[in-house]
Amino acid sequence: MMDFEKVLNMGRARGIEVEIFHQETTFSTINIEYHKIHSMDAVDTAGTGIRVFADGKIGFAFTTEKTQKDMERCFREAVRAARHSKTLKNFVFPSEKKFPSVNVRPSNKIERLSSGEATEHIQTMLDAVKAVNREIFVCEGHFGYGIEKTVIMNTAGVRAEFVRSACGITIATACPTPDSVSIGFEEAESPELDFDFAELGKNAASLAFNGRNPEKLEGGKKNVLLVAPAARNVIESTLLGMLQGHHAMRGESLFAGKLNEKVLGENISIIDDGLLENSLATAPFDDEGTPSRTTTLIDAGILKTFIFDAYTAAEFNLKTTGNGIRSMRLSAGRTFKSLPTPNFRNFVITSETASTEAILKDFSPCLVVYAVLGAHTANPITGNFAVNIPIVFEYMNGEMKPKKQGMLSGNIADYLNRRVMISKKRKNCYGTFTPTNFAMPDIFIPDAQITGS
Amino acid sequence: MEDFLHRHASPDVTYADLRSVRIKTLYIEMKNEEITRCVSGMDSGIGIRVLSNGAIGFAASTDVTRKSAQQCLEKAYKISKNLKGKTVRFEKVNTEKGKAIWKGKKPHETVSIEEKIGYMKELRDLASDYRNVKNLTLTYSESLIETEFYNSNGACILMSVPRTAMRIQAVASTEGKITSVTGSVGGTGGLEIFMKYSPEEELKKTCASAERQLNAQNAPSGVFTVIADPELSGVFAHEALGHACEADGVIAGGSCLAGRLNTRIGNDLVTVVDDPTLPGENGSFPYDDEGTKTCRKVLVEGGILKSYLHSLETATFLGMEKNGSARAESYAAPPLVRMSNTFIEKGDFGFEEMVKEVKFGVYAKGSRGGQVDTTKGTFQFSAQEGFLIENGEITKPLKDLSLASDILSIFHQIDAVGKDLALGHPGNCGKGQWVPVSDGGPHIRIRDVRVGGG
Repeated sequence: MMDFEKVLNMGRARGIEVEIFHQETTFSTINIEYHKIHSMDAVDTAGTGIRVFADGKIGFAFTTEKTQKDMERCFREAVRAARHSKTLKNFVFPSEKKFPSVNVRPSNKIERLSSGEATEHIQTMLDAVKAVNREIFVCEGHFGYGIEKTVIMNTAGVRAEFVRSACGITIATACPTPDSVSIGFEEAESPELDFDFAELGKNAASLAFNGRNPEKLEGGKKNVLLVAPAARNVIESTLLGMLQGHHAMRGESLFAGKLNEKVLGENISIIDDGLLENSLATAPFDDEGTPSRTTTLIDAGILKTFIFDAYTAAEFNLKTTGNGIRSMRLSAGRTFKSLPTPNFRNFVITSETASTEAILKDFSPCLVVYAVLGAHTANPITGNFAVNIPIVFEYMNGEMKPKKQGMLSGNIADYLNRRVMISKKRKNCYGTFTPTNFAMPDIFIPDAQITGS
Repeated sequence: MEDFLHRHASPDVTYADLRSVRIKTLYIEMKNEEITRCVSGMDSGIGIRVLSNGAIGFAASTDVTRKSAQQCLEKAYKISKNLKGKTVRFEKVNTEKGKAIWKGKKPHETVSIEEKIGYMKELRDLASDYRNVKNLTLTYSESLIETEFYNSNGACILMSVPRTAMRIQAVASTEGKITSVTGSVGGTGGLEIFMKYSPEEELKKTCASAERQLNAQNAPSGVFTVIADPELSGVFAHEALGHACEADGVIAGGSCLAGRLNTRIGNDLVTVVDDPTLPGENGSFPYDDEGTKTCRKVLVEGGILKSYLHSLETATFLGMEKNGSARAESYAAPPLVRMSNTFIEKGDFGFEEMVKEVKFGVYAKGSRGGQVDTTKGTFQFSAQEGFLIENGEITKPLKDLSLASDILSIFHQIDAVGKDLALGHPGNCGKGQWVPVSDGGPHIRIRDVRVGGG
């Protein structure tokens, strides 16, 4: 381990506040191609980001190089970068030294998982796919697992360290039919190796199998149930950006200037829970050392706050909400290469709940959307979106009938102002391009706009 | 490093390669009057791939010492020995000793940070002509990627590729209405790229579009004739065709174009090319990450599917020629089959002629990106803005316009290809890893496209 104290002392000697963010990861991924294990990757990375606050200005540099000399050069680069930045006199590095305890521990199972055991898990999943139907196969899949260690130190006295484990699997299945192909998928993420691999394989295969011989999808206003991963994709690309402080406080959000106003339906609340159990995004502190907390952003439809990191909060004379997370644009991974920006930790939506079955029964006929394509092309300022729906069924008279692909479009705030219902059951879905976990239910939207096939 | 793989690889290693990569970056963000981020970075590491026992093991580290390289080699070897699954083979492995040091005419280091910021300020001042543009974010980025590549067959390639880009986001608002439009220019090379692709012009275009959309109506939902501008036709080539031509997907049973080589997949107006050799384009590179020299690939010629994009593995598996399409995001990732600069070749239609023949349709401009499911053959992409076409004339502005269709039918539905080919739209393509690409094309007209409005 580098002697980061020396870098902090370099800053102190020059009257410069300094923060070190150091990240080490050991991660393995098994890749599946055409229903066979294709390859495996094992990647060890270590890198350090140095943020300085000099003469009221922020500068940042990062490096993967290891020597003390490299670290000192990185510090000087950060100081050089600071000279050009805007002045922000009231910025301070976080200084809390006590952090909440979180119910997330590094997993022994993940730490000790051998490549042999990992491939056995994959084989179990592949066999479960074939058990549904011999014609179905996994065209592509990835199973990744590993450990990440984060160290944060600053001249305000923070010394924080956290080790977390993670594993995740995604698989895409295909079921050939005489004139086409039906597709399915499954995904799971967890800080513990607690997946039922056979169940995951069965789910992905069943989705592809049940989607054979789809009928024409009629357009118009339709009841829609967004199944959790599809709901995650739509919300990630629309609502999240509208609630981020650095966008909203600059007027780059439909919700800008609407604090304490009703912005969503009165049965909807949105919470960011930095302490959620069994989540990949939970840690005692955010990526700049602010203690994690639970923040209610929308309470019964009323906008209460946006999320902030220390920098954005200082820009607007506010306090950080513990949401300073480091990730690159359009990336779900956290990284030492980035400055913190306001990002959700664990996104939680609450509303009127019922079982998925009861929702479908009450609002039949209802389109059940399992997957969406192109959610990231939505407008994150206004919440307008139009996505392709390649896996869609219609629930009617107790039956699920596969439908041909169509499009779902509309505005997320408009939809969440309706009588939205959510399923009791939630699924942890990690972001596809944000470093956020979504404790996501299935979401029912009445009268959504559908373009038919 | 040249003899490292020979000396240290176990006798039953069929093939091994090593990439040592060093990426130097600078990123400056200006929001309105102020610099909000100035970040410099140095990211280096090694990635080693081993083919043994018919399986591929890959190990990478940010530790670039010889000892670390040896550990990676051993780890990659052990992985490959333990994997039982697919039987991978590589044929016609590169043995070239080559060097491609791209410098650019105006290298990054010859222009100070102060000058770069000064240029951004000049650019920002141009936005003052657009009074409803309330927020303007300019992001300047530069990178220099230096790669050393070695393989166990004796190849040794040294590469250096600089990239430079300017991204522009304009947020316009008035009377409670708000819109946002982004634009970007850039490519491989130094700051001279801004002479070829003008940030000034892109900024004016972006700001004007943001203002126009304040009074735009939602796009209609339904099935219409669509005319796509050069930027969007590039995304169309990338999403609707390029991804399905990636041979790893073809082999995995994940492409609707599997088994369709030399068959008609579109009408004879359509020719699509992927070309990483184009000077200055964002998706250009001299050698791929398996050390194969890059070349121009005609994917579709006159509506006939002519080739796939290949890595060593896919070319060997399908008994075809490798074509330098294996790319890795960094040292920490193994190469995958990827696109480069993908575009539709020009035709002979004039734009006005195309519009004149449309009774009711949509003119879609710019791109917010897209996504494809190559297995089922469906795709979606979104335009930055649109216009209605009524009785052969472009009329009302539209906002939040998305298009979706099927790969196997859409190329038959193109009934006009313009003569106004334009490239220079930089982007990043995600497939588990991000790589820089660009796309482009002429205006194209497509019948019966599913359109969704936000």
